[in-house]
Amino acid sequence: MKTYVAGTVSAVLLGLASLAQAGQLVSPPLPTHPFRTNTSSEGLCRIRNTGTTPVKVTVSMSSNNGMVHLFDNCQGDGGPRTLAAGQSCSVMKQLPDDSFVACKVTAPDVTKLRGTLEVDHNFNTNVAVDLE
Amino acid sequence: MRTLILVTVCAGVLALSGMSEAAQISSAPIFGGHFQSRAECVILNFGTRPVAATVKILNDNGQTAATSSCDGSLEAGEFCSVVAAVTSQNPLASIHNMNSYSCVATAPSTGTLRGALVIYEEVYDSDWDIYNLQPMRSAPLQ
Repeated sequence: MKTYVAGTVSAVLLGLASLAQAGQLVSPPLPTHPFRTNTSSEGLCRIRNTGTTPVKVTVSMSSNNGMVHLFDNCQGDGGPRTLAAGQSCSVMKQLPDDSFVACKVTAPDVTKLRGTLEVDHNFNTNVAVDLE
Repeated sequence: MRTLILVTVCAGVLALSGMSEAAQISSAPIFGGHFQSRAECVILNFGTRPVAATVKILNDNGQTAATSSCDGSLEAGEFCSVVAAVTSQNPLASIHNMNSYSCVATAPSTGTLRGALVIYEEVYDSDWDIYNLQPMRSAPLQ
């Protein structure tokens, strides 16, 4: 009985611990202050699978105003793409003025995923943050 | 013995829960440079429930340069920001070109919050004869 209880306890604790690590990585939000002149502002989210096994990723960017889709190779055939070991993908959107942007990746296991969100002006990176 | 095991389990569960739900996330202090003119701190609630959060930009002395209560509640998926800029009218609420700045967000639970502090400078655009804000540095809240 004691062994059974101890086993159950360990399973619960391990389950809780893994719940806290798996599922999603989210970037800190970044403000999108464009130049006031004729320049564009883009958000680029890059995700890399640093592990040795493939991971299916769903990458999304969010803002408090509308974004214009520019590029997305984190999808394949209209669905989430599976990143092979060492492979990267990225999503790029044109950003709204005076707003905010963030990036999120969800996967069955995110422990081997790394990501970064960049805010560019005229496709030159001004500021970047890592997904956590 | 069973009681002891149960108490240990409860303590373990509570400890794990507490580790993922600190009441505060903070950035490192960052200095953009002598031309820094604006600091902006943004937080995002990426959870599914509203969070009552407060965001502050602090100077080297721990004094508050700017603060926001995010209108009382930050809804799921919502952003909230606070800005401190150079001004001669209220020096305490102004950012100084010799000071570094940090940002702190406090909430009952910060497990679903992310944040970043960004420092800007004004860059002259000779083509249009105006100054534009350009990010110099950023730091995540952790």
